[in-house]
Formats: sequence, structure tokens, C-alpha cells
Amino acid sequence: MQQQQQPAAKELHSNQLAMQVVRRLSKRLQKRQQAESGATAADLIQMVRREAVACAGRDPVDAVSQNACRRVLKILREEAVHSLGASAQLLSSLQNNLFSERPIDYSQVKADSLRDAVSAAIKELSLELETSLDDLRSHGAAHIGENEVVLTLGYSHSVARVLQTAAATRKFQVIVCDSGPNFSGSRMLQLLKTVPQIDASLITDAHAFAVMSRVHRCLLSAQTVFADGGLRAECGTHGLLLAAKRHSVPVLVCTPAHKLAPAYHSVERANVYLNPACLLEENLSFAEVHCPKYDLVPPGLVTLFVTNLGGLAPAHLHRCLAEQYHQDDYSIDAGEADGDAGVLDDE
Amino acid sequence: SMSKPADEKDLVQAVVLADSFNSRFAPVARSLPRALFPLAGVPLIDYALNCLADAGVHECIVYCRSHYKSLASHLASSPQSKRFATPPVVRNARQPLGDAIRDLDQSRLIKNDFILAPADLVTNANLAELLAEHKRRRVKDANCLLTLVMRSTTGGFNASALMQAQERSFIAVSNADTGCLRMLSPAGMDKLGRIRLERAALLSCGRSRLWTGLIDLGLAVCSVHVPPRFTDEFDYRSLDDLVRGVLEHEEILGHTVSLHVLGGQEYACRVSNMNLYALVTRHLLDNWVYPMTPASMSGSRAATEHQVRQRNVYVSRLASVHRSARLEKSVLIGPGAQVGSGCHLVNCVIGSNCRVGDRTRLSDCYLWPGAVVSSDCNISRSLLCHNSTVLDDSQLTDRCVLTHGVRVGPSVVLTNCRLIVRSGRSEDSASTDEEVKQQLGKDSNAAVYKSAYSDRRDEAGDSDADSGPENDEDSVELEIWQTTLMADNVEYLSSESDSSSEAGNEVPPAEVGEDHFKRELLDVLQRAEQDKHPVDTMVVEINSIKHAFCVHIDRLKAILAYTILLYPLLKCEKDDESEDCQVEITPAEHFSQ
Repeated sequence: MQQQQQPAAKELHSNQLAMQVVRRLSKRLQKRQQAESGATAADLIQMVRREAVACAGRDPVDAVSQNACRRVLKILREEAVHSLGASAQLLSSLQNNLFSERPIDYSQVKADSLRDAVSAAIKELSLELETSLDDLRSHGAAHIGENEVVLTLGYSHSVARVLQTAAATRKFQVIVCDSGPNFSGSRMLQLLKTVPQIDASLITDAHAFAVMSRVHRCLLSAQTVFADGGLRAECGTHGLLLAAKRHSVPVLVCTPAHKLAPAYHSVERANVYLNPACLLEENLSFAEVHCPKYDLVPPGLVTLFVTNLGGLAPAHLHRCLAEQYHQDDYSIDAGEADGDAGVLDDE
Repeated sequence: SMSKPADEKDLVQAVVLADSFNSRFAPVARSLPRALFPLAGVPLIDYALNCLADAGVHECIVYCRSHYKSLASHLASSPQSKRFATPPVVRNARQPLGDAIRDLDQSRLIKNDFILAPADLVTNANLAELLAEHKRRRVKDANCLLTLVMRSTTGGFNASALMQAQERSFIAVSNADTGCLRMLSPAGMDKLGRIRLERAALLSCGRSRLWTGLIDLGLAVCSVHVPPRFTDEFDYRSLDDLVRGVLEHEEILGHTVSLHVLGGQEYACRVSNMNLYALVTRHLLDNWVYPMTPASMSGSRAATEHQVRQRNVYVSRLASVHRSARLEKSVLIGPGAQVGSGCHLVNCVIGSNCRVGDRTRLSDCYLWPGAVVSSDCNISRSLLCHNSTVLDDSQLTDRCVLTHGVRVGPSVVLTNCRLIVRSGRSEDSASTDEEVKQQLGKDSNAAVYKSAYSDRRDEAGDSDADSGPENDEDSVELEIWQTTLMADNVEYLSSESDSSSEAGNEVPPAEVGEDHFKRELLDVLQRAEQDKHPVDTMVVEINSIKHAFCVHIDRLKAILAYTILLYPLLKCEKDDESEDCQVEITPAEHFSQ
């Protein structure tokens, strides 16, 4: 199946994935607007919601595509409200609940009137996504001081770039945990060894607790950040964060804002289970062997989220969420899936 | 799906054998071919097709003997067949593998080296890599006829469950550098725990490597010379014959066979008996055949189909599971299934549209689509086929099999390898036989399965050690959940030629055709004596009737020896009485005198 062939394909960074989704959506929106003259904003919104459901269907673990769809939805809704002639007062937001008027009827708005505004906004969104990693780098590098010991886990593109940027102006030490069973930490080590100002060393995951008392900062990345501050991150992160909490070491999670999902953390969230044979070659009939790819870290263990929009305390995640996505799009139901929504027009 | 390559040299083909020509799944397989058995909700052949499609196979040719129509219709609609450049084609083969490959040769479908796989193979091995390796080997050594692929089960834990469930395992000696196979034999230890190795094989090999505990997968990468070889050698019936022919009798063409052993992280197993069915399902649910997980295999909308919970619990989004039902681990619940309150499920597969009643405990059991289990039941280690029903308060433990449409009555206790089939009476009427009622419940329409062999076996007594090869086949068939390794009783590389077909042919062919053959043989001897034929002519005639009657070479040797000894005796009798007498030949009778 196509899903199994994905590991062989080139790894996409999260912002590239998000940009792909946005590009695809904008093409579909344009096509729809050209094809149907009577299309209303409600139709466009419905179309994008179906695409979001299809994204979730293709890969339940991938939250970035869905978030990109949500951003586009936010753009559509905002532009629809503006074109109705009403001011921002109509929008019911956290600050505005008292004064907001009746719920917006999107089927009143013609799609044609939105075209220019929406395409401009989508261009801005693409630009933001493209530069998200660069912004992240500069924000993250500010948190590392001279001669500090930084602990990280496995290989992450964002963390690697943050460390490289910080190393341009100061010297510090990095301890990398190799995360089994694929040992991506070694890849991180190879990369950091090429940077002159960084003194990099590799330890096993189990050794993290022992060195934690010497560490100044933990710098990690996550695959998804949940709305309550929980994480879906590489396997081994939960243990590392518990150790950090025990030693009161500040934990920084470097993620671009498009990884922030409106869902709450739960251990029943989607997870990928790899081949147990990579842990244990012989399948013993009496042993249960699980090899999850991600850890679902409960909230309360992260000190600061470093995003491309700046540092974000866990208590203020909801504000960032509200700015990025519309409240009606927080939960997108699987029941809206349609027959044709699963078709990818262009890849 | 991919498109056919422009250059014929790049065309990758595969041949899938959908009939195993033995009857391990006897009464169940009568209405549904083994290739379509649902394994974790997906027909068995889809796993093989999936693996082949991942390997980049463009064209797939499927051979089957019985149930041609159902197989063809499945292949037309299966999502796996859409991944090939041309949809898989089903062809008919009357006899085991030999005929299939001869048909391949005649129809000239094979253009390149091809992959030969059985339909009941579940594997995540990288077949593309195997094919590439085979091609590289052929470049270096053009005589390599085929690469046999086997799976090793050693490496620290010799008594692994897979090994135990196999009917036989192999020992091989191959060259450590090139993988060229020198010796392959079923691993039977004699009473002192020794195994027999061919001295000639070891000496002729360069740097040799001994493999033990190999499992036969029926998987091979064959070169383009294999079909003509089968056409030349009339009596090759299985891959075993070909390998043995090359290893022992190779003189003229200098062909060789290579061995590739899978191990480590690659999973491969043939679902060739009921124990293996249970084991492979378990392994599938426990994610050992990654990337073929139950979630990814089940249909085109795969990722949304199943909700994956902890401890390998896969629940279809279209199933309704009661909140108080406890799905402990390794459970797969198909679409449309209903699980009642208070249930406890461990290691189960609930097929689509099944119903499980309240307060039922299911462990290690496999419910095929449409099966119904009522309340308060306790079922363990059993198989319930399509549309079978278990009524309230029943207990089925320890390897019971209910075949299609069977209904087993309320408050019944069934244990120990019971095979329950639909009784011959009219559709849904409850049985009136008191004994059956007591055994199977008052509302049941079923009967306990007894194959034709079981009658003979009962008469002959229950001895295992002294019975000849035929009776061993019978006992293997009867014990549908056979557990012991029959290493001692198995004939040397015996093919399954003498066992009855899955189309429900009860009478073994040995008894029907052989009388005629013996008469023909006697005629040959008679003519030879009358016309004073030289020995060579006799040999040619005997060979021709051997092929005409399709008699196996071992059988021929036995019958010929017997007939030659019998002939003068008959001649004496005939001289006394001048009329033609019907000769009744029964070896048992004669030798017991």
C-alpha cells in the first residue's frame, strides 16, 4: 500500500507538508470557484472540511495536514465575515462574546467576492509556513546561554537548526540521547560534530536520569502539540521529561506553530506501532512485544513552547489556538467524509 | 497501480499456486477454497498478492484446481489485484505444481525469471531484493535453475511456536559463499538423536554451511528454464521433485539450485494447517508482519477503517462494541460486528457482521463473517465458519471447528478437536437423533464430522507406529488441529500425491486406478513373453503405461516387483484352467497368506 512505501520516499519536513496541503487546497478552491458560479462560502468551507477529514483518514498520526486545512478554513471564514460588510464585532471570540451578534450564515456570501482576498491571504499563509523554521531558529537560539549543557533526544530538524544557530555566537555542550530502536540520536550526533562550537556527546536513553542533574536545559521537539500542553513526541520523551521535572530542569519544546492541534491529549490518541522484530528477533510465544513510534506525553511537563511566533507558555496555548483556527473548526468529524474527498487532485 | 514496462526484459512476473493439493482443512475447504479463507478479516490470497505487489511484480498468474469461479470473482474485485499492471489471471491445473508449470510452458506466458509463491503464504520479506539477488547470481553462474527460499527458525529459541506447528522441517547444506544448495532433507532424528548427512554433498561443496530447522515456504525464484524442465520431466509433481532431481540426478545440464534463508526481522509462514492458521493470525494481530497490519490490509479506506487501541486491539469504526465489553489484547473486530455487554475478548478475530452476545468469554477464537455467538457462552481455541451459530450458554473449548451454517444448541459442551458439520437433513430442522441432541444441543442442525478414513482407522485400531504411509496421511487429515511434528512417520520428501483432493473426493485414488494399471502391466508382461520382446522394449512399454496412468515412480517399483513375481504364479494357474479369470489383486490379502 502507499503508506508502506512512504518511508522510502524523501522525508518531508512539517512545514513542507503543510505547504503542500495549502497549495493543493488553493488550487481546488480556485477550480471550484471557476467551475461553479453559484458557489457560496458555505460550499467552500464544506469542501475544505472534507479534505481535512480525508487527511486524517490517510494518516491518523499526521496532525499537520489537518492543521493546514484549519488555517485555510480560518481564512475563508474571516474573509466571508469581512465581505458581509460587518466589522470584527460580529465575530464571537473570547473577548467579544457579549457584543457578538447572530451566528454567521456563510451561504449568504458568494464565492466570487472572496476570491482575491482569499488568494492573497493564502499566499501570506504559505510564506509564513515557508519561513516558520527560520523564525523558530532565531527564537530558540536566544534561550541557550554560554557554556550551558543542553540535553536533547533523537534527531529533529528544528532542534538541529536551533543548536546550529546558537553555536554561531557561543560555545556550549550538547548531550544527545540515542533513541532506540532506530537510534536517530547518532544521526544528530554526526550533524552536531560538524559544528565547531558545540561539544556533542551521545548517551543512551536510560542514562538520561543520571546526567540530568548536570543539565541546564532540555531542548526537544514534538510531532504534535496538543491544546492542553500534552505532546506526541518521539519514543523516550516521556521518561526524559519526568526526569527533567524531578531535577527541575527547564524543558523547551521547539515546534513550529502549525504542529499545534486543537485536540486534547489522551493516551488513546493515534500512535504508530512498528515491527516488534526490531526489538526482539525471535517471536517468543509468551512475550508481548510493542514498539510504539511515539510517546503520548501528558500535560504539565513542559516549561516553554518555542514557536515561530515566539515563546509560548503552556497556559497560553489556547490563545495561540484561537488566533490560528476558528472555534467551529476545532473538531472535524469523521462523519463528514465523502466519496470523492479521498481523491488527491495533484500531488 | 503501476504500468507495464516497455521493455519485456523488465517485466516481473509471479505465479501463485492457489491449491495446495492436500486436505488439511477438509470439510471447511469444501465450500470455500483455502486461498479465500479470511485471515484477520482479509482473504488469505490477498497477503501473498500484497507482498508480490510490494515487490514490484507486474503480472500475476494464479493456478487453482477447484473453486475456480469464486477465486476468479475475488481476484476481479480485490483491492490488492488493482496494484498490478495487469489484473491477476486464473488458470486451471488438474494436478499439483507440476501440471501448473507445464501449462505455463505450453502457453509461453513466462518471459523472464519469475517468482513462484503459494497463495497461503504470509510474509513481509523483501521479494524485490530476492529477485535482484537471483538475477545477480544467474549472471555469475548461468546454471542456477532456481533459488529456493526458506525460513530459519533457529537462533536461541529452538522450540519456537512456528517450528512446532510445522508438519516437517528441513536440514540443508549449502555453500557458504554462493548459497548453492547441496543437500536438502526433512529433518528426522533417529532414536539416538542423530541426523543423516550426505557425504558426497559435503565433500563437493566448497565452504559449506549447515542449516537446521528450516521451514518450507513453497516460495522460490525460478529462472526461465524451469518450465521447460518440467515439461521434459514428466513425473515431476512438486517443487520437491525438481529440487531432488537437480540435487541427485543432475548429469547433463549441470543445473544448480540455490538456497536463500530468511531470518531475523523477516516474517514468513505458510498457513498450511489449522495450528498455523491460529498462530499466523496471532502474529498478524501482534504486528509481527509489519507493514502488513490488520489496519492497513483491510480495504481501500484502510486508515479510517479501524481504530487502533493499545495492546493491539483493532476495532472497526462500523462495529458496535458495548461499553462494558472488555477487549483485553490482540482483538480484531470487523465492520458491522456487534459485541454485547460484559464480554471478555482475548486474542480473537471477530469477522464482519458477526454478533457476540452478552457476558460471553471468547479467547483464541476466530469468527468468520456472519457467525453468531449468543449470551453466556465460553469459547476458546475454536473456529466458527461463515454463518455458524452457537446458542446460549454453550462451551466450546479446545479446538472445535464449526463449519458453514452449523447451529449448535443451547447449553452444550464441546471439547477436544471436534469438527462439526451440517448434518444431511433438511435445512433448519432440529435433529431428532437423541445422541446428537445430547451432544450438540436440542436446537442444532449439526453432526460430528467423520471422514471416510476415520471408519477404516477405527476398524484397524488406533496404532500410529505400525501403520503405513497411507494411514499417516489419514491421521493428519483427521486431526485438523494437529499438534505433533510427524517427523518420524513422514516418507522421504513425500509429495501429497496420494491424498484426496479438496473437492471432496472421499475415496483415495490409489485404490481405484491401480487395479487397472496392474492389469495393463500383466498384459505387457504377457505380450512380452509371447512375442519374445527384448528387455528394452518392455521397459519402454512399462514407462509409457506409467505415464498414461500417472503412477508415481515409487508406486511403480512396488507394483512392478510384485507383478513380476506374481506372473509365473498366474501362468501356472492359467495353464490349469483354460478360461480367462478375473484377477483380483490385493497385496494385503496375498501377503497375509
